[in-house]
Order: sequence, then C-alpha cells, then structure tokens
Amino acid sequence: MKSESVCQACGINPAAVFINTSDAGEKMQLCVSCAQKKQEESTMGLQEFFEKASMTILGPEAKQKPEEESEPKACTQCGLTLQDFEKLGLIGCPTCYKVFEQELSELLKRIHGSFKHIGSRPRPRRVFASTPDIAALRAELHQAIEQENFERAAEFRDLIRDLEREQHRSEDSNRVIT
Amino acid sequence: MKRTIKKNPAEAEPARQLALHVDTVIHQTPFWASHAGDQDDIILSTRIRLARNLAGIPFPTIARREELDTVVERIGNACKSIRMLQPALTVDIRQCKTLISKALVERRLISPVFAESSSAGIAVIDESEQLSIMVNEEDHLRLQSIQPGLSLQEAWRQISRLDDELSEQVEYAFSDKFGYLTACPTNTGTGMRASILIHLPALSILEQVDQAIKELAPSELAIRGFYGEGTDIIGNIYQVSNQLTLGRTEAAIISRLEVIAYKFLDLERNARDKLLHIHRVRLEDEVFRALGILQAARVLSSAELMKHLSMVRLGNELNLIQEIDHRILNELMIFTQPAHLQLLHENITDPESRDVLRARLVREKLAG
Repeated sequence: MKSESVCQACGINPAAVFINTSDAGEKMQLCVSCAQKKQEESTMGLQEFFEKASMTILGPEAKQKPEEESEPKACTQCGLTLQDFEKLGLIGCPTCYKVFEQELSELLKRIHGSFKHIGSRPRPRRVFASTPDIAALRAELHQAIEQENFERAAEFRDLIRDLEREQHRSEDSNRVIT
Repeated sequence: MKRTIKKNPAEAEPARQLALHVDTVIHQTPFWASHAGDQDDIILSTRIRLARNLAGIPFPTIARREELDTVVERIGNACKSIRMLQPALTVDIRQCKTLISKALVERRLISPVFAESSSAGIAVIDESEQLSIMVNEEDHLRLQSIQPGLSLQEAWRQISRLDDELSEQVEYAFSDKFGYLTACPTNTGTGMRASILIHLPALSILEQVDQAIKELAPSELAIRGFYGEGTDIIGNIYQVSNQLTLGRTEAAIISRLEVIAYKFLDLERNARDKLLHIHRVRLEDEVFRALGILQAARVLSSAELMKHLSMVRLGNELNLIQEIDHRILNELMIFTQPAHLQLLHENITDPESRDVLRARLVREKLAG
C-alpha cells in the first residue's frame, strides 16, 4: 500500500495542495478544506492563491521523477497541459477528464477521498438519490475482492460503512426532532 | 399565527409566456424571506446548487467567444420551455448595469465573480427567486434553489427537477466514473453544494460559537460568511456547507448536513435557554439596547444594522419584545443593502446619505 501524506494543519485528511507559506519558499502540505481556510484568512485573491498553491496532481513521489524530454501531454480537445492546470487551478474541458484520467483520479482521491461517482445521473438514467444503492456497491466490493484490487475494495467498504452510518443517523435525528 | 404559508408560485400552473422585468424582482420580497420554513427561528434559508457543463464544449474559463455564445443560446432556448421557469427574468450580464448586478448579488441570485464578468453569460431567475441559473460562470451552468428555513429536501426536490428538465434538452458532460464533469475538481461528481444560513446570536453572546464550530463541523464542512466564499460573518449569520462532492450520493451529502444542522440548532437552543434562565438581565439588556438603537439612530451602516438586527431577531424569537413579523426583519436585511438602497431611492449617491436613508427606513419599520 502506498503511504499518503497527511494535511499538516488538521493532521486528519490526506494532503492535496502545496502552499508556499513564506517568500523563502517554505511549503506546507494541506488538505483542501484547510487550504480553503488558509486562503480565506489570507488577503490574496483566489486567482493569486491558486497560482501560488500548486495542486499536486502527480503527488510528491511522481514529482521527484526526472522530467521527460518529450512534449508534455496535452488535452486533445482544448490543448490544456498539466502545467496549465496547475497554474489555472481549473480543468479545461470534458475531454481533459479522459486524457488525464489517471492523474485526475489521484487528485480527486486526494480531495474527496474517492474517485468514483455514486450519485445521480442525467436523464433518462437518473437514480433518485434518496435511495443510495448499497446492494450495487456491495456487488462492486465483492468484484474488487475477487480481482484482488484491495485498494478499490477498501474504498467501497468505507463508502458502504459511511452510507449505512448516515442512514442510521438520519433515522435517529428524524426520531428525535420531528 | 404571525406567518402565513402561501402556495408555492414556482409550481403554479399553467405556464405563462411572460418575461419578468428586473424592477419587479428588485422590488419584491423573495420567497425564502416571505414564507415560513422549518426551524426558521434559527435557520434563515437553505440553498442547493448544482454545477453542470455541456458535453463537447470547453469550460467557460478557456472557451472561445463563439463557444460561450453557443452555450448561452442553447441554455437560453432550453429555459424557455421549462414550466418551472415561467415567467422568468433573463439578465445579460455584459449589458446589465453595475447596480443591478450588485443587487442580484445582494439577493444571492448570482455570485460576485459573475456580476463582474465581461464575457457572454446570462442569469435566469424564476418569478419567486426560488430557482436561478447562471450561464457561463466557472461552469456552463450553475443551478440553484433557495428555500426558507431548513428545507434541504425541498431544495433538492426542486433543483433536481429543474436539472432533469434541462438534461432532457441539452447533453451534459458526464462520465460513469467521475460523474458530472466540472471546471474545478472540488466540484466533480455530484457538482452539489448544499448550504444553510444559520443565525447563532445566543452562542455568540456566550462566546461559544468558535467552540461549537470546532466541535460540530468536521473538516468536510465549510463555514463561511453571509455572501459565501471569502465573505465576512455579519449579524451572527453563518453559512454551513458541504465541501466534498465525489464518492457520496446527494442524499448522503444532504443527510450529513442535516444532522449537523440539528446539532447546531440544539446548541443554539440550549444557549438561548441558558440566557433566558440564568443571564436574563444581560440578555434583555442586549436585546433592548439593540432595539433602542435601531428605533433611534439617524445614521446606520450596513454592518451596524446587521449587528443590532441580530439581537432584535433573538429578542423577537424569545418573545422578549413586542412581536415583529419575521418578514419585516428579513425585508430590512434585504432592502437596506447598498445597491438596493441606491436603486430604490434615486437621489442616493454617497455612502453617508445611504446610511442616513437606511436609518430612516429602519426607524419607520420598527417604530415603537
């Protein structure tokens, strides 16, 4: 299992963003929520903040690899490169999600703790979100175990646990309050 | 009963092919402020927004001019046939007067960034201001529903219906793996931000707000000011919202926020009880001083009004002062904001005359 760096401010969430904390180039690794708090505390505009805080898409390990000589990978539709993304803090177009699928999966995992959407879908396939399909997630969990993809299996396990916990909690709160 | 529940105008039928005028909107009290809602002694309003993009078109920040025009045209046309949006106000953000766009920000119908946008974009706002759409903000589409009190389920029901209707007419950028594809990775997945505006004056008097936030808001929730990201806390009003959008269902996001909302409600109610039973004199002093200032002041800044209004609202909820309709307190909050004052009272040009006018309006509304 790959070890993940932890946010230096809260010490709980995985770090997703590097921020220069001084002009001398000192850096802090923060999770998104702490980074946003830092940004709100600072007087910087959002644009400037994103320019200074590079979203580490590749993660610190990959950063240390020697730079390849070839042209940087660019999106086939909008031409965005990872460097552009780090500067802008924004993704260019829907196709970027395909071209940079691997890198964005890692980044999204760092931000949200997951890279798998389980919410509603556009019509005509929309699943009403008040009935999260735990059975379907269980099936995916078993499939992941069979394929010995334990990282993915752990993710589904946590997801199912969270959903079940939340269902109980909301049932509890309904009982108490209403 | 001091509050009356009216029929929800967004569901009124049949569709009327009428365009609303911006003056109508600026003069009216929005639905959330004029209607009763669950827990509205503490929670002012609930908002859910969805970020969506059209398939095959670059996101607004890097899209070319003609691509932005295409988005405006497609969404604009789609909106015309959606019954929930009839009648609606459509605002071309480039041609909109600065004061009007500022007033729309004050009503939380558009974002401050969008108000200053110089590229092709429109805002579409339904008659009751429950539903609004920004086209070409950070994403092609930002849909939002604002409801009175704590009404996450109703906000979700409405926004989800609007989302469904739009998705029948335009193709969204969506992937099985990542969900709804958005410009910022912090929105990817559900594209959903759910938030409540919660008024915590008793916790504030007892200096327990920071502690409450620390205990209750896990790192996946954000606490912000009245106008959202990067804005100050004014009048003891806090915005609590989800931060994470991927790997959880909309229902899970909503129920987690709801659980936290109830915990805040419990703490604030306990603090109110404590003030009433243990520190009653101190509480009455705060409330009556605030009311006195609002009934007597000749010059009143926005910040000072919000501060005292918070105490008057508290006194009102605890029946310490002669009953004031909720709607009046909400209206004071909305119509005394700078752009509203300037738009609704023509000869106001400088901040000082604005403060004088604000004080007069407040005195009239709260006359003892």
